[in-house]
Amino acid sequence: MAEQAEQRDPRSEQRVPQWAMAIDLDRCTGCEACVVACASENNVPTAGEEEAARGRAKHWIRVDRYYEGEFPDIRVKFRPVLCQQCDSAPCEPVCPVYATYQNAEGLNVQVYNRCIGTRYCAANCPYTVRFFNWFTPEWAEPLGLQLNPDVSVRPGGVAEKCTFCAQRIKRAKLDAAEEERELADGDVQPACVSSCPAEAMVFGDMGDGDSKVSKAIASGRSGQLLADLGTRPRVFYLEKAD
Amino acid sequence: MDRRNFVKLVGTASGGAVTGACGKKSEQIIPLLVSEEEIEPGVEQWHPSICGDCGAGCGTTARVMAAEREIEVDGERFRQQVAAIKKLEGNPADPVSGGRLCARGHAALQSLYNPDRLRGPMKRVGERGEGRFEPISWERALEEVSESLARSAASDPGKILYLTRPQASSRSATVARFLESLGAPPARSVGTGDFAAEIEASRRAFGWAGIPVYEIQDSTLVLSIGADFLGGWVSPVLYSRRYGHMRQGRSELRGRLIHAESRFSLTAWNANRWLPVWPGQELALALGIGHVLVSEHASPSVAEASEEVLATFESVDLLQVSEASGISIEAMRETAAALAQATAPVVVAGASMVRENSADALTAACALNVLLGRVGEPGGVMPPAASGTGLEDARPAAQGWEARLAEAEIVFVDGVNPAYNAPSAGTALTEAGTVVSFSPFVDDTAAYADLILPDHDALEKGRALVPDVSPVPAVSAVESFVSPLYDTRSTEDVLVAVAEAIGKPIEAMDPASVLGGLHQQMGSAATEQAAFVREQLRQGGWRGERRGSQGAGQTALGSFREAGKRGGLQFQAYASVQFGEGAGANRPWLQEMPDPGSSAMWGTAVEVDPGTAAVLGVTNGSMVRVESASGSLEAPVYVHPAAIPGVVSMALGQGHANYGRYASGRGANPMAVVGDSREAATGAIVHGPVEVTLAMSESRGRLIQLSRQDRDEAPHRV
Amino acid sequence: MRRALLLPLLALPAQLAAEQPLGFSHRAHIERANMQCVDCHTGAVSRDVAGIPSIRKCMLCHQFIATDLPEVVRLTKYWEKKHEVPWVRVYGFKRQAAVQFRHAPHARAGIQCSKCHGDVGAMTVAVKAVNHTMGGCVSCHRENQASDDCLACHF
Repeated sequence: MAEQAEQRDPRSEQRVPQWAMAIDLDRCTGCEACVVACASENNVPTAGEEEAARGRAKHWIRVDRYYEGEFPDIRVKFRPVLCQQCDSAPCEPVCPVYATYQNAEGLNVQVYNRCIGTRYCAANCPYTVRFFNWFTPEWAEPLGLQLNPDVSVRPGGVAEKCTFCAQRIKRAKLDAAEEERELADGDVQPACVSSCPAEAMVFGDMGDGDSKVSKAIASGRSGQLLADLGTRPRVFYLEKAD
Repeated sequence: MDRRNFVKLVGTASGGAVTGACGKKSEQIIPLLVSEEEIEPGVEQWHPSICGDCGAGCGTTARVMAAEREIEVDGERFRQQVAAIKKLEGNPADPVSGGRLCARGHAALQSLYNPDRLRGPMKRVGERGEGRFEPISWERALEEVSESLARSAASDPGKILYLTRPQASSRSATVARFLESLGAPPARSVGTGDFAAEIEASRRAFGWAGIPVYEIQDSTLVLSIGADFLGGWVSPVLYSRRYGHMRQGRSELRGRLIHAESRFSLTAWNANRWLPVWPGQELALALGIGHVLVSEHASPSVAEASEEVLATFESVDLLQVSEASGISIEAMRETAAALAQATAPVVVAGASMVRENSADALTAACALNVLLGRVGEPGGVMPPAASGTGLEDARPAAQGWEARLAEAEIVFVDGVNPAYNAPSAGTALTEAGTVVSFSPFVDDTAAYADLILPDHDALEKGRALVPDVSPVPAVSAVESFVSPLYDTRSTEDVLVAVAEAIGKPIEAMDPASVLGGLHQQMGSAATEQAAFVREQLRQGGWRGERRGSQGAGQTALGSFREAGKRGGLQFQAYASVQFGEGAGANRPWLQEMPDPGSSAMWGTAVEVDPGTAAVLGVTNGSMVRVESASGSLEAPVYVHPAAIPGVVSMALGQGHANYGRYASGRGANPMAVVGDSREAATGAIVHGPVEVTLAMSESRGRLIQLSRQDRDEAPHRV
Repeated sequence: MRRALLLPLLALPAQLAAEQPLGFSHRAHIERANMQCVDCHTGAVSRDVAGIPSIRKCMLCHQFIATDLPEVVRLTKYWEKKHEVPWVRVYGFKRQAAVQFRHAPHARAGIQCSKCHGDVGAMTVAVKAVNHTMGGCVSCHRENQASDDCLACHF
């Protein structure tokens, strides 16, 4: 589990939140509502048939599934996979222009306008959750009306990936500031989390021991994907109970 | 429209004010039409809406923000500020969605903003089915419809046929009034979403009217027979929420799931045990489990069951049903024992794939709840929660439209696509009299229409709708909050106009009148009607109190029609997570959403078990020809590690002859092979099985998969 | 057509000293009419986006006030044609900059409009008095102990 020294914002003197997600695989059904919710929220372009056939479809979140055993004793193991927001992210040191780094809140940030498109980050990510824009995306009119103005449309030539819905974090912070209160647990709900019909996903501040996500991480079923690589992900999976 | 907004603006001094911009979403839901003048750039508004994609009728909220679009006026291009829907989410106040939404629900946005939407009414210029149209004015189009309708109404109103969706809504109530004023028969539903077999079984087993509600969240053991309730059956969002609670929502108590289906569906994925029942033999399985319960687990509840119920199960030959269903006697015994020992078991009876005897199979499955004493009990099965609006009476039934289609003098097609879902409908539509479609797209069926009078998109309309299943009595009701993008017209308004034109005037049912009626019926003097209506519209509908538990009414199982045994390869079609019965195929998000089982994008595969694939010499992506007595198709193979040996499955969704740029001409429609058969008691469209032959094909095609890896060999890399 | 107010498509690009369709004087409105910036740019203090007012807002007053001034006569012609005034945006970020800017937090921190927009109250037609560069943003953020995390603006 990641350990973060407590940081405080120099101006507000509030504790800097440490964002994390827990996904309960005993609740998750594999329905992929998160997949479409994410594309809708984050202006993730549809690659189209030809580009998808070349392996260029972008899914900031996907559901990996692996079959085990043979009929009739067959099972399927599956889990939603998104950017794991690693504390020791393999994508970060390989970027020659520092376009990707971890910020104080634990987010693995991709700075689009700094990115020069080497694709080293995607090659070095063991979770294959980074995507390269081969083209500047276009939307057949009027599909462009669906675009979320809170999120930049990434131009061709840059890498992109899940941001933990940074725009929603931003909005929640601004709303809290306007109402002159501290950010409360549950104020930030990334699109995948707020959509999940089985309520399998929890998001919040793992620096706050009372937050739902902290409790989920401490549940005893919690683990991290490819933990042996030492990436120290911020996404925790609560394994199925059987 | 423009003039009205114009005048309104000049008349008010405070134009531009927007209420409640900040704070929590639920507090800032605004139910009124946002005219383009009343939305500021960068400010979000949330409006209650209803998902129209399936009959579940999830209450949603729509995020509305200012956007610009380009339009052409008199040959000049302009930018225009519009109030655009940016995102859909569940409405937390809604008892069905509980603030959540499924993949198809999110993608409803791409129906609204689909580039292939019709911009206005169209008149056919090519042959029927060809899909060639030219624009026509609304005035002229309505005149033509009125003339045809007046002729039919005068000669033989019995030859007026109205095909629509199986929803209980203000729309279906308006349609019912329209047909009644003409003396025409009631509207008929087309497609699998009618849950006709579920409704019939509920009537026979429990004496209820409507689809039962399963309280799986409070169950300790769920046995689902044929109901893929996590993958799209009846109300996937409601049942996914309940499933999550069943697994991890209670301290110290984790419910178990046994799922019987002839396909490895999402529900099978998540089950503790999957019973791979032979397609069409769900009845045999239910009878077998019931037999064991009656003969080996004589609990007090079994003793209380009626003689008819006991007799039905006692007479079952266990060996025979085991052989027919492909489920061993041992597995039936284990399942029955688990049910008998569980403190709160429930049997969910559904026909995600409709069979010729589904009503019988579901009746037997429902009756297991009677044997277990789980009817009306917490964690058991509950009667449908009547909304009190009476809209349920207008929910169209499936039975018997096919025979009347070819002879109909005028056919209205409203929100359904019979040419896709029932292959013979295409031929019949060629022979029918006047065909009028209300589709916003030139889809497979609209291609046969003489006139297309495009309805607004569901997100552009106000309406009231009773969800197919709801934990509490509820009616979702919303007003429109964005202006229609194009020169479309609400079908309700068109029906009113046409009825007026031929001298049989009707009044449309709208959300306010539905709520007004409800208020009157409740007799609540506490609130003034207008205030009540306003408040419910603000919340996206009315939700009542949960009623006390209610046991079964009359149980009358009747005699069962056993499915014939079939040899050879069996083929079945199923409604997929992404496309439902096919309507989702024109939404790019759904096309690029990997199929849960096969990981396929932009196409659907023929799912073949590894043994059959080896015999045929096919691998993933090989093209095969599937042939039945009814027809054939060619599509790529997915060698499904969990397919039942000898059972071939294929998702509905692709194979549209006409349905816009994302769907037209892509892949194959499994109904071409399934053919046209109907559920014996209800007339619902059957999804197989049919006997087929498979052969390698030389045709071109491919399987695009997000992950080509089915097994976890190199961990977690795609 | 359904909706009234239309903008010609041409008027998109930002320019340093924009050629505006009307000789709108900020000074006249601030000094003579005693108006505030937020009277027209309604979102400047409380919203993400300050906003450029619609012609409807102009006409709320100019139906009655100064109707004979030549620029108001020209304004009225747009109104009568049901066209928006095709104002040319003076400030704004290019799409490629991938910058997300929110006005409200800046106003809340007490940053004056003039800090980023110059003394618009003294201008007639607005000119780009301050160049919005990343260096400018970052140094101001640092002076005020605001975040200098890339993600504060780029997402």
